[in-house]
Amino acid sequence: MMNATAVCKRLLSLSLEQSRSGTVHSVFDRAVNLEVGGGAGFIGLIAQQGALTPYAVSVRTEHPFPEAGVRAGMAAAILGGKILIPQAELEIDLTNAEPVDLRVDSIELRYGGEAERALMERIVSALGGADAEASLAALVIGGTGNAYTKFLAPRLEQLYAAVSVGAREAAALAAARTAGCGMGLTPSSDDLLTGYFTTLHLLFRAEGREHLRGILPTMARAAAEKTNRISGTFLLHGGEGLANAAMCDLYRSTFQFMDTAAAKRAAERVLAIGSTSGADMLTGAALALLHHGGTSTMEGTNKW
Amino acid sequence: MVKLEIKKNAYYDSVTLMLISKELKKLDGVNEALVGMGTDLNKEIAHNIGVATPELDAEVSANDFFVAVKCGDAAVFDAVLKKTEELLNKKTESKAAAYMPPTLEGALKIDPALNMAVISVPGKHAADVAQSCLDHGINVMLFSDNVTIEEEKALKTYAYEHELLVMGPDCGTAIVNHVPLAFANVVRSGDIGIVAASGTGTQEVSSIIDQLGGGVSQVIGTGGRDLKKDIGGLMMKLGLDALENDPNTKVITLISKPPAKEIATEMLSLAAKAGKPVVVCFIGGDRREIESFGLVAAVSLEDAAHKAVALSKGEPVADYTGFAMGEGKAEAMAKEIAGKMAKGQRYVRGFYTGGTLCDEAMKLMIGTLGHIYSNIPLNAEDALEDPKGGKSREHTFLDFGDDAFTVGRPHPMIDPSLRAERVVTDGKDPSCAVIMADCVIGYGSHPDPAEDLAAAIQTAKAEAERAGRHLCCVCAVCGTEGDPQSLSRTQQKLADAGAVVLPSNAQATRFVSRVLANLRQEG
Repeated sequence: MMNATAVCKRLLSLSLEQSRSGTVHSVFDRAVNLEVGGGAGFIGLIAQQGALTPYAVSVRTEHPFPEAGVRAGMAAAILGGKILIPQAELEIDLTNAEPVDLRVDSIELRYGGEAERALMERIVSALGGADAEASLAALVIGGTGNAYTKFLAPRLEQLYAAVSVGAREAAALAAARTAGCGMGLTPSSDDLLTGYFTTLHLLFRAEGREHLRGILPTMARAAAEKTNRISGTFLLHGGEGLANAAMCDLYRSTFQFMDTAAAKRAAERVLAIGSTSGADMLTGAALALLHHGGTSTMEGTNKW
Repeated sequence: MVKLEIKKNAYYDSVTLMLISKELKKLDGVNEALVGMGTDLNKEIAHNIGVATPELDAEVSANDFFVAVKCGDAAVFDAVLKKTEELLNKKTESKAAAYMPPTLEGALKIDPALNMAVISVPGKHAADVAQSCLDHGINVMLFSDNVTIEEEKALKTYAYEHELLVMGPDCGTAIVNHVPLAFANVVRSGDIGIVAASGTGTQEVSSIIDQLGGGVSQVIGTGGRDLKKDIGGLMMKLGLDALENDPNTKVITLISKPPAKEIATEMLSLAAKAGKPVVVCFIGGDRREIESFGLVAAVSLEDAAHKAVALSKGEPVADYTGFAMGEGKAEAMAKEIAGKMAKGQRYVRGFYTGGTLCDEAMKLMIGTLGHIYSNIPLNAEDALEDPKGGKSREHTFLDFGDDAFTVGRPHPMIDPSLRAERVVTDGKDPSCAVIMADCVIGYGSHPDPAEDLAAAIQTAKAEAERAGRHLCCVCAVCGTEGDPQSLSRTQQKLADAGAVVLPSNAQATRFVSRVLANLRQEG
């Protein structure tokens, strides 16, 4: 039995609502995706050291998941607050884990423009340590970039323009034309869009532009159709305003607490996600701040 | 030919995909490779870079993994497939070993016990990265420059309180537990420990120690500002303390430009209590003050190495101010060279890639030359206007590693071409008698720094000959036989170009002084 340490509140609720059966979709050393239906996309098992993602549970495990006997195609079920994979003799009790609210909306907005500036500074500082050759960080911190940044730059311009005026269809089209670009399992541009969506949820709420938030799920759906299912699931979560725990901590440390040290730690945790996924999420967040942030944020951009 | 491998509904983690992409591009015969999930945009990029096939468009979906390669022939593609499978099937342990984590957190996941980080990121980010390392109990070598003195003070104060090293900022060399870091030479292990606030100065001393048959226990860099009042020598103190307590260190050597008076007194006082012999080379500093603390003062970097090795071997300690070739031969050679020169040739031009070596040469010569114009002048009034674009003036020494020369280009130890151009330019100056140059080899340096310099020397000497002048070029190579470039091969290449090659910067400087003295005598 693996011990659950933290669980996304959405998953906990889902697991207590009704039983669902499904299969193991994919298995990695530090993550497993379960396909159970019910509108959540994939449900994730994440090794404890990884950042908790929406509809996922963090588990304490000494071995990579394949070594624990989990294989794609195995039957899986959610039942009474537990995740079961019988063939791997795996039973995870979600009710013992700490429930974590991964909704960006759960973050209290005590600071405004000041927080936007602090967040931007933290992100830019963290991106200084990113793999500039492989990630999309050059879109924010400059430099020569790579084939993907050059390819994406003009498409992103269309995205910013459409989002700025709240043009739903144009924004969805632009998101679709941006998704699925890059070499990772979650292509870099998908990670960028995920960071962009969740940050926009925060920004639009902070600045009273609630009406613009409505276009984000539409954009996410359009983008998800252009990529693989795993990456698409993260895009859909982002569109709904669900972020991974490290991103939530980063947002909370700035907008709710204005705690520079905590923001720094959170940004480092985001950066450590995947090969370049974290850097690309931060890049998306920075682009959201740069192109859609308030006046005070934009005034500060000349220093980057 | 363009070939495609498809794995339907296959998912691999991003780290694995990144590794495959990087490794495939290294294979012989692979001209271009694209690895990823078969999304529309990735297919479009495949078309853009010429690795698309009809199957890619027809058969690959966003949930499929593909490898598209432009390669020489089918055999190369077989090698691509083999490599791909090998990497996909690798066990977790081996993936971790090959994985270069993009973040500190990632690195700590792979090896929680790591305790030394070399940081080379843009200066504005460097302090943050360094502090993160310190927060995790990791010692730091901060190769980055453009870190403010306030940031340096904060980092070092924290590090000192936690007994952690911050070597730098702008720390170019260190050898920790026999592992060379950044610009460093292949120096044999031994019982001489070095703490130094000077990059190429440290390389010169450690290399000569090796040449003399000695070896080093640890070489700890502090960064050039450590002994300024603002910093208070925190890392020099910590380094000194570390070597005092290191059972493998028998002799300690301290290297720096002359520190602020009160800092010097504090350092010398601490060194005097080390319980081990300490050689102090405050380049151009007051030897009487050093000796008043019962310490061994060095008159040059080379002298510091000689004295440290003598102490290590239990031999008598004496100033080394001579020539390996012998006094008589050196004087005869200097006289012969001066005798070949045309009327009007009277000045030396020193063109250095190592800042400390340039500084040392000027300090050893300033007493007889009076004024030496430079971008790192010993006296403010001798600052050279526009050192990069302008002309040399009388006796001129240039540090090509100074900011004036490195904006937008690599350090001259990596790219010495600008210095080579200057050798040719100044060789045309009828008043130029001698051109001096260092040649620093070792890890991090240009794979063959003598190549450009030798070509420039040959050109400059030939042009001077055609103009009826004899141009003397004097070089010293800083490095060891074990360095990738090889000390002897580098020396030979410069000698073959017509340079007089001396075993150390100090000997090269003394030799040039003799040539100039002979010129003055000949009037």
